[in-house]
Amino acid sequence: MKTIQQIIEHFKTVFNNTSDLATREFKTKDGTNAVVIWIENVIDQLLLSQNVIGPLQKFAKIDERDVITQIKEEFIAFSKVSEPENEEMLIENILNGFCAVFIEGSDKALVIECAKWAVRTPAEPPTSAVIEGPREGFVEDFITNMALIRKRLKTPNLCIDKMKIGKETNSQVRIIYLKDVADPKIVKKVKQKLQEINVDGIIDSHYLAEFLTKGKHSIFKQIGSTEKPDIASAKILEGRVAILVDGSPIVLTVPFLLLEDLQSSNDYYTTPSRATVLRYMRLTAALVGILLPGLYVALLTHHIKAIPIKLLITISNSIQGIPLTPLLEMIFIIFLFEVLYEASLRMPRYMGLSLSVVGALILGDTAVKAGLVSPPAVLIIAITGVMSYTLPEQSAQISLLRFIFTILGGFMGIFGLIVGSIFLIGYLVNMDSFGAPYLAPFAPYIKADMKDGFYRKSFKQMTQRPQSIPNTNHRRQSNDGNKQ
Amino acid sequence: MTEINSRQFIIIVVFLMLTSKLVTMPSIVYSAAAGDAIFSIILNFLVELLLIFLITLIIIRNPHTSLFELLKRKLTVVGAVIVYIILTLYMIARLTLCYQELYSFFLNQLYDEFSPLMFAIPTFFVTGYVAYKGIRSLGRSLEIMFWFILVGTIISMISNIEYLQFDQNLPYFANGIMPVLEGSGRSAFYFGNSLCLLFLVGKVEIKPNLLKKTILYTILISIFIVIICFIFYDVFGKSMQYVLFALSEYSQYDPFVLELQRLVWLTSIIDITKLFCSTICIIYCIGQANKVLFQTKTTLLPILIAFLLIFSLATLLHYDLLIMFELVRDYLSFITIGIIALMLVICIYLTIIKTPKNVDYQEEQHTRKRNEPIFAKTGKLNENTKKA
Repeated sequence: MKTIQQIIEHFKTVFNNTSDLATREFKTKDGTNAVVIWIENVIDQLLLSQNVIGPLQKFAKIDERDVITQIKEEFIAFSKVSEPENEEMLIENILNGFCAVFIEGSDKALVIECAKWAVRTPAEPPTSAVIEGPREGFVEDFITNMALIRKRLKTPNLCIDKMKIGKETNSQVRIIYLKDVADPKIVKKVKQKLQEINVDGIIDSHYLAEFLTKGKHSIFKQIGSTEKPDIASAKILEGRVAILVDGSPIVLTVPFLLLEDLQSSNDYYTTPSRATVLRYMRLTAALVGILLPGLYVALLTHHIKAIPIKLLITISNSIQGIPLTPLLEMIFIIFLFEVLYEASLRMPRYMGLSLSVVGALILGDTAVKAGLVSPPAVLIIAITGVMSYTLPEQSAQISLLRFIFTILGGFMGIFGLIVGSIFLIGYLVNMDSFGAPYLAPFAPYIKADMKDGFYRKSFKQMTQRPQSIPNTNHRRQSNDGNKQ
Repeated sequence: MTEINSRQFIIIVVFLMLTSKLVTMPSIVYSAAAGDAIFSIILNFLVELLLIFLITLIIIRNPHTSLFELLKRKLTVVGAVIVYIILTLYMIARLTLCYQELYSFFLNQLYDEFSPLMFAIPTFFVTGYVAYKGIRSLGRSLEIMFWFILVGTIISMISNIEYLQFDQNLPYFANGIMPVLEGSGRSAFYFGNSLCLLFLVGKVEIKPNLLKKTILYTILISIFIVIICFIFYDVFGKSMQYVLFALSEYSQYDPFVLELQRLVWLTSIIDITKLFCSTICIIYCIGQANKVLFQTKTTLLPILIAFLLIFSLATLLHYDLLIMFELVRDYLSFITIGIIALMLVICIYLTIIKTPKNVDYQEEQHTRKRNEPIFAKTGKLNENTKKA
C-alpha cells in the first residue's frame, strides 16, 4: 500500500511532471493523510474546495468498511462519483475534469466530477441563419449539444451511444438515433466504422466525416453536417443517425442525400409554395453557377454563331483589345475570385470589409480599365459567385465544378459541356451514403419522397418518413395528419 | 439479382425507342417511301411493339435468370453463343452508326472543324464509364436525363406546328403498298434497338403491371415519334430526303429561329444528349455480350475492344455519315430484318416453350460453372441454383 507521497510522485511521473497537475494534501478528522489530485483550469475550484476538500476534512472513519466506500456512500453528495476499476480509467477521469481522492490506508481511489470547461452560450450559427425559426446553434461542448437535441426529442426512444476515439485526444463521441426509426444496420455500420478508426486524435467532427466517407477522392461530401439542433433533430426523426464529437459545434448525420443541401431549414418555417419556389431558385442558381462560365467560354471560342446578334455586338465591343483568350481570361478571374474569397475568410474581420471593397472596386474595375479582362467575364463570375452561395453547403463543390466545366467548355465547346454533364450524372448516380442512393429521390425516383424534394408539400401531406433513407418505421402520422 | 426497378426499365425502353429514330431515320424512310413514309414507320413500330412485348414477357417470366442461361437451357450452349454473336454484331453496327451520327452532328451543326480524336477520346471515356458502371448506373442516369430530353423534344416539335402543310404528301398510297414496304425494309436497322432489352433479362425488378405499363409507354412513344415524323414530313415535303439531321434541321425552317439560331442549338444539344444515351445503352449491351462470350470478369475489356472496333470502322468509313447512310439503307436494314425475324422466333420460343423440369443437375452445374457465377452479387444463391 502506497503512502500519499508515493501516490503524488507516481501521478507526477504518469503525467510527465506537467505543471497543471494540482494536488492538495490534507488530514481527515481522524488524522488520516489524504490527497486530492486534479488538472487545473478544467475544475470548478470553488466546488472542489467547498464540496470535496471541506467535507473530507471533517470525515472520520465510521466502521470497518473501506474508507473510500464509506466516503462514496455516506459522505459525498455528488451525482457523478465512482471508484475506477484500474489506473487507466482513473487517469482518463482526471483528464475529463474529475478530481481523484486518495486516503492513506485504502488501495482504492474515488473520482468526483467537478469539471468546468469553457463553454460558449448557444447562439445563432453564422452559416445557417434563418429569418423565422429557432436561432439556437450547437456549441463546442457536447453535453450542451446533447441537451439541445434532448430538448426537442423528448422520447425514451432517443438512444445515445458512447464512444471514444483518438489515442491522444480520447475524444468523446456520441451516436444518436431513434430506436424504432433508424435502421439498425446503419447504426451498426456507423459504430463499426467508428470503432475501426485508429488515429492519434480527433479534433473536430470533420475528421470523423472523412473516416466515414466511402472512397478517397470524391469531391462530393457524403456525410451531412449541421450546426443547428432543430435540423439535427429533424434528421434524427427521419431515421438518420447523428454523430456528436466533443469540442465540435458541427453535428454529423448519416445517410446523406444531395437533396439535403437543396433544402434549407427556412423552407420549413415558411409556406410550402414559397419553399418550393426557393428550391427551384436554388437549383437553377447552382446549375448556372456551375455552367455559365463554361458556356460563355464555349460560345466565344467555338460557337460564336449561337450568340444572338445584338448580344454578340455588345460582347465583341467589350472584348476588343483583351490580350487573353476567353478561357484564360475566365480562369484568371475565377482564380482572382477564389483568392479574394479565401483572403476575406482568413483576414481579421475589421479588414474584411475593406478587402471586399478593394476586391470589387480596385481589382475588378481597374482590371477592366487596364484592358486585362472584359466586363462580361467579370460580370459572369460575379453572378456565378453569388449564385453558388445559394447552396452554401455545396459552394466548394460548385466552385470546383465551375472551374472544370470552364476548362471543358474552353477546349471542347458545347461537346465538352455535354460530355462533362453526362459524366457528372453518371458519377453521382453511382454514389451512395450508408446505403442511401446519393441522388434519391430523383434517381432512383421515389414518388413518396418527392413531397419534400423539388417541391415541398404541407406537413399534413408528409405522412411518411423519407423512403430514400433506410428506416424501420415509415409512418410519420395518420393520413389526415391528426392524432391516431 | 435485380438491378433496376420497373420504372427505370420503362425509361430505358423509351430511350431506346426515342433516341435512335429522330436523327437520320426519317430521311431514310422518305427516300424510299416518299409521301407514304409515315406508314412505313407505323409498320415498323408494330413489329417493334411485338418485339418489346415478347422481350418484356421473357423478362417477367425469368426474373432471376440471365439471358445466356435461358438461351443455354433452351437452345444449348452453341445456340446461345450464336445468338450472342448475332446480337453483338448488330449492336456494333448500330453503335458505329450512333458514333457517325454523333460526330457528324458536331461537325455539321456545332463546329467548323472537329478532330475525330478530340471526339473519340472523351466520348469513349464518358460513355464507357457509365456503361462500365452497370445497368443500375445507366437506369438512374437516364432517369435524370429523361425529363430534360422529353421536354426539349416536345419544344422542338411544337415550335414549328404553324408551318405544317397537310397537303404536302397527299395522296397517300399513290403507288400502292410497295413503297411502304420498301421504306419499312430500308429503315429496319433503326428498329432493332429493342434487342438491347434482351440483355436486361434477370435484372429487372418485376412489378405486377410491368407488361401493361411497358406496352402503354411503347405505344405512347411510338405515337409521339409518328407525330414528330408526320410534322417533319409535312413541313419539309419532298425536300426532306436531303434533310439528314431531322429535328435540328427542322427547327431551321422557322425564319425567326433561323435568324437567332437558338432553337437549332437547343435541339442540337437535345439530339446529342439523346445520341449519347443511346450509345451508352448499346455499349452496355455489347459489354454484357462480350463478357459472356469471352468469359471476362468485368466488362472493361469487352467495352475497350468494342470501342477500338467501332473507331476503326468509323475511320474506315472516313467518319462520313453519307456512306453509313447508304450502307444502312442498302444493306444493313435488310440484314436487320433477318435478325429481327430470327429474334422474334427465338423470343416466341422462349416465351412459349417451358423449361423442362428434370434438367440434368450435373449438366446444369457444369454449364453454369463455365459461363456464369453461381452466386449473385449479394452472396446469396440464385433462385435457380436453389431449385437445382
